[in-house]
Amino acid sequence: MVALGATAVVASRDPRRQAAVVSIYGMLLAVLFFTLGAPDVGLSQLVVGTVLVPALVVLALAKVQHSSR
Amino acid sequence: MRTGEPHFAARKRTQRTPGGPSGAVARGVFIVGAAALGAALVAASAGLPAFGHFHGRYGVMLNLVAVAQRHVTDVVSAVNFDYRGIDTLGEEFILFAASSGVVLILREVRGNRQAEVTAAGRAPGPPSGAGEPSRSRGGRDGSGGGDAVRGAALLSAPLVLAVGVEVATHGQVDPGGGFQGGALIATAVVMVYLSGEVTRFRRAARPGLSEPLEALGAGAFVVVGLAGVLGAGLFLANLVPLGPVGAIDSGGTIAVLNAVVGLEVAGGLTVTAVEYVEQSLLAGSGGGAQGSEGRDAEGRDGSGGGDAGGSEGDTPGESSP
Repeated sequence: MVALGATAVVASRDPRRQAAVVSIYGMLLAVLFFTLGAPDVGLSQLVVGTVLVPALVVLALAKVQHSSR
Repeated sequence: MRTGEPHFAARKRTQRTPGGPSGAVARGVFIVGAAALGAALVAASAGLPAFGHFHGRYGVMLNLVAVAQRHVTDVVSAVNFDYRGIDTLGEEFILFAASSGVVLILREVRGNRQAEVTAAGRAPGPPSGAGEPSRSRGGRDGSGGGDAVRGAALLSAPLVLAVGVEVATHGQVDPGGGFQGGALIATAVVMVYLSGEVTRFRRAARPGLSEPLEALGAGAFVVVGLAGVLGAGLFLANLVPLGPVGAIDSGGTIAVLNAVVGLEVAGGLTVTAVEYVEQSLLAGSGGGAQGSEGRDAEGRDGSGGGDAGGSEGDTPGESSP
C-alpha cells in the first residue's frame, strides 16, 4: 500500500493533485508506523506529512500561480 | 570560454529533438541505473535484522533504566527531552529559524505589495466575481471552499485543539509530546481559516499572540537547561520533582520541556501558516485587511471574485460595476 502510494505520488504530474496524493501517502505511512509499534514517529508523520507539508505546498502554489499571471 | 561554446550548442540541439536517439539513450541509462539501484536495495534489505531484533545496546539499556530514572512511561520522550535533550534544543531552533525566515521574506514582500496598492489609489470596492471564470482553482483558497469543507473544519477545529493540548501535555505518559501537540494546535488554528471564519482566524492567529508564544517556548527551553547548570552543574539536569510513574506530573523537566516545545511549535507553525495565508488573501483581494471582509461576506463567490483581485490593484477601472 505504501509502495503503491509512493508510486502514485511520483506518477501524478499536476502539483495540486500531487499535494493531495502525498497527503494520502503520508497517512498510509503513518498507519504503517503505528502498526510497526512506533506511535511517536507515527504521530509526527501524521501531523507533518499528512497535514503540514501538503498545506504549505497548496498555499505556496496559490502564491506562485498568482504571481505568474 | 571558447571550449564551452560547442558544448552549449550540442545541448541545445538535443533539446530540440526530444524523441531522437538521445531520448532512447537517456531511457536506457535510466533503466540500467534503476535496475542496479533496485537490486542494491533488495540486497541491502535482505541483510537487515529481523523486525523487533534491534542490535544496538543503547535501546535495550534505555528501556531498562528510563522508567526508574525519569518516571516516564514513554521512553521516546525520555530520549528526546532528557538523554538527547540538547539535540531537541537544536531542532527547536531549526523550526524557530525557519519560521523567522518565512516571516522575514513574506512580510517584506507583503509590505511592498500593500504600499503598491495604496499608491495606486486604493483598490476598488468588493470584487465582482461575475466576469471572472473560476479557472478550476479549487483548494487554492480555503475560505472559498464548499459548505462540506467549512462544516467539517468548523466541527473538527475544537476537537483537534483539544487533542493537541492533550498530546502536548501527556508526552511523558503516552506517545506524542510537545512537537506533535504543537503541530496539532497550529492545525486547529488553520482549520478555523478553512471554515471560512477569516476574522476569527486573524484574531486567533494574530502575530501579537503567536510570536511571543513562539519566542517564549524557544527561550524557556534554554532557561530550563541553564537552570540545570545553576542548580546541578549540568545543562538540562532535572530539578523538578519526578512525580509518580504514569501521572501527568511525572517526568520532571520532561513534562516542562514538552509544554514549552508545544508552545514553540504551535506558535512557530501558526506564524508560518499566517504568513502564507495572508499572502494568498492579499493575492486574492488586492488590498490587505479590509479586502478579506468583503471576501468573507461574499461567501463562496469569494474564490472566483478573489482571482480578479490582484490585477484590480493595477487596473482599477476594469472590473468595478
